Amino acid sequence: MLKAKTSCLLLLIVMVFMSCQKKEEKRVDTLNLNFQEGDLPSLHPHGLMIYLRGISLSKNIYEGFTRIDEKGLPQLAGADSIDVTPDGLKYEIHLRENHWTDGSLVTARDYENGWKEALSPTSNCPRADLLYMIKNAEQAKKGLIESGSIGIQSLNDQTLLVELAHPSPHFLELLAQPICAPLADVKEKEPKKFNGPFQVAGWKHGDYLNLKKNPNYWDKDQIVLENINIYMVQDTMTAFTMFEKGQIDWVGVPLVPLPIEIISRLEEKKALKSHPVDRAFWVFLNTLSPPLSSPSIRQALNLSFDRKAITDHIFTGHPLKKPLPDALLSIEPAFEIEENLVLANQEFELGLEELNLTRETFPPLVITYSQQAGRKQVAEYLQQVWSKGLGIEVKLEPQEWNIFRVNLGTGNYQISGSFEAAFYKDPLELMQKFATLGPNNFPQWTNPEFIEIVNLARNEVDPDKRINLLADAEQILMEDVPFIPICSDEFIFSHHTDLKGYIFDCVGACDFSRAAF
Amino acid sequence: MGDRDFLMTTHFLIKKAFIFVISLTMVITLTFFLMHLIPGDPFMEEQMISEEILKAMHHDYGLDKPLIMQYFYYLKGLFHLDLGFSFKYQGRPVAQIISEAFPISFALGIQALLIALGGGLIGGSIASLYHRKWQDQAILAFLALCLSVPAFLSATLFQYLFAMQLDLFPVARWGSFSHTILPSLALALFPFAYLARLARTNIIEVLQQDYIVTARSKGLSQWEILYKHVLKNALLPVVAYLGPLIAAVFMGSFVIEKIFGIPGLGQWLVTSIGNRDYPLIMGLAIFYSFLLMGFNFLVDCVYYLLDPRIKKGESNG
Repeated sequence: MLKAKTSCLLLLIVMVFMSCQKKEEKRVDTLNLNFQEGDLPSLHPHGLMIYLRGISLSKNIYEGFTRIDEKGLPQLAGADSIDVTPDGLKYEIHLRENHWTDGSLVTARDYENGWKEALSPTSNCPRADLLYMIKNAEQAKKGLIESGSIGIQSLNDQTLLVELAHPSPHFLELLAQPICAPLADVKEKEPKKFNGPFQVAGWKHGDYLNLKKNPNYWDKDQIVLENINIYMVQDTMTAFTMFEKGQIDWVGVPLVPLPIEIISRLEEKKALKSHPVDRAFWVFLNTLSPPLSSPSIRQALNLSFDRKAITDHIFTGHPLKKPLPDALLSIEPAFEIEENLVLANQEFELGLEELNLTRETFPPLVITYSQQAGRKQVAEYLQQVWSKGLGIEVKLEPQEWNIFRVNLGTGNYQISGSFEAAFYKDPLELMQKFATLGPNNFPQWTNPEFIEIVNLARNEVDPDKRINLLADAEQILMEDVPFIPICSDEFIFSHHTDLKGYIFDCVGACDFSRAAF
Repeated sequence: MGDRDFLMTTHFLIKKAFIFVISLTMVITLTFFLMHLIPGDPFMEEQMISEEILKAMHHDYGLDKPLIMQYFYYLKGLFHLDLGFSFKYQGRPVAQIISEAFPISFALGIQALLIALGGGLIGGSIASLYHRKWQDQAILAFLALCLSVPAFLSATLFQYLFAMQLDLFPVARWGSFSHTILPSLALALFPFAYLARLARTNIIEVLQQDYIVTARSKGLSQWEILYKHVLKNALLPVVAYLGPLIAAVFMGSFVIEKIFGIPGLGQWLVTSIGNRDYPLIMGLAIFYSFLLMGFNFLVDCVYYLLDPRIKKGESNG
């Protein structure tokens, strides 16, 4: 018996010794990332549009006509040159010579097919609406018109002609997004060919996604990295431990938002980095839900608290003094949003009169919030300030993300806050959601003056006139308050000390293709 | 006598199989309707999908048909052994997702079970030898500690101590043998302690029986007695516990898999519900039920074969 016991013990010791970790040297040609929010359902560029880590990934495996640089400006990438007519409606795009991973040439047809597939009424492209600035795109998606009438036409293998429905100064920025990527074969649900700086070397669902440098890429000499390994560890602390041990080189957005505990740990080590993004937190007010139908009541809610408390303690970023962050629309408004309890109470009294209510008969308001970081605290803060400042009773209701999202779109809520992000630096993109009724118009708001100005701006060619019209539209948003602007967003992250060369775009996705140690 | 045994066994088997089928059907039906009862939409993402696209997707997946029709449609698929395709991971068959992830969870579970069984029996035997001495109390205290530490705590502790601080094992993921050690130890902790206590109690009880006294008077050593006479009898309750044990290991594995970033079935189960990925939820629920009930069925058979008392009980009753 003793022999058996001893040999068991010896075996155990040997096993432990054998599996001991050897210190691994950091390979400078390999970037290790972690998709903490889980694996991506698909590598199809249309599907990647809805995940920040998906858009980041697509910048590595696909090459659109343009690519965003460090200054946030679109630079020519898949295109050699782009000619625009003076009315801003027609774009002639000349392709650069670039190849798919199987060696075949990337043609204008590949782009045309990809975009038309997104606009097909039977395809599942969730953000097809981003292409609606193209002539007849919206009608084609709704099945009202043949795809042949869409303003996308390949003149030959190397030239694509695009006709817009209305001028858009930011079309070139949109071209850098994955929705505008070319598709080698539209029938493939999972693309097998890639034309970007990297290609897929191996993908085990839920486990890892490995990329390796694409030898057929036109700009391959600029690419320093040889491999990008993407893990899928979903536990926050485990991923952070791997980061501290140097097993992954990046933690935080765009791959995953950082929780408070980790932010403070990183702050101590002075390893925290930040980057401004064109995202804003807006608290939507359902204008169809009494008593929020009165603009005065909404204004009262808007002016009765200090946003700095939120940006100091709950969210990162800066308080918003107007609906759109300065990065998107920098024209000074006529007045800024500031805490003013006197004015707020005046507006409140006006609203009460309008609705034939008194402070006693004013019904309690309900704030619904989702489970992400900070939402609960913001809701509690608003509950506090509105109760103290205006004497309004506020109830809070947590909701699971999926339910919360559906309710926002169907108008089944009273007050709900959410982040809104812009895909390109055009204030129109965020504002036009409120110009039509639909699932994107969360406040269910209709304002004829606003709708008119937005339509004028959409069709305005002169950039100065356009921006002034948009500033006027913003003014209406400030006066009518379909939503309460809280703060602009800032992305917080950390990475390996030697990593450089990564580029953020305005929606917050990160281009790692030109990164190096 | 042979014929009678055969009839009894067949009767036993048919009864168990019948219960199996009924239970599985109940699980399928309940899960299906409960799942559809939860508000939310499978196609809702951070970015808003336009109404027409959403309607088209609902139509594509048959979600605009009445619920009872969807149910029968799903059952029809099951008869053809078709679990359908995932909503979220479009184009990927549910069966494929499960068959890719299950071997990993299985390997983890088996390793943990073996550690728990081996460790539990050895531990219980050792404890029984020191019965009524201070070592017994010490062991019992240790086992009580193991029982009260929840899986996520033991997993995090092991990871922090042995992987983070001491660098002995990988922090997370799966691949080599050393990746499997910490997760299976963490997973085995509770069942090991439970089995050790169970074994100890049963061994002590058996040791007090008359035939043991006889064996001792014959001059057999304590270990020989343990091995020849005691273990077989003490094994029965352990076998009976195997069913719930396997269930506990399965359930515990979700947490362990998450903490160690292991690409097993656990992650799919958790994310599929949040995603409202109906076919995947159904596929996983059916798979797990099938597995658990199948295991319990096997355990029942083993128990039936091991214990002559049951067979006798059947024939008397």
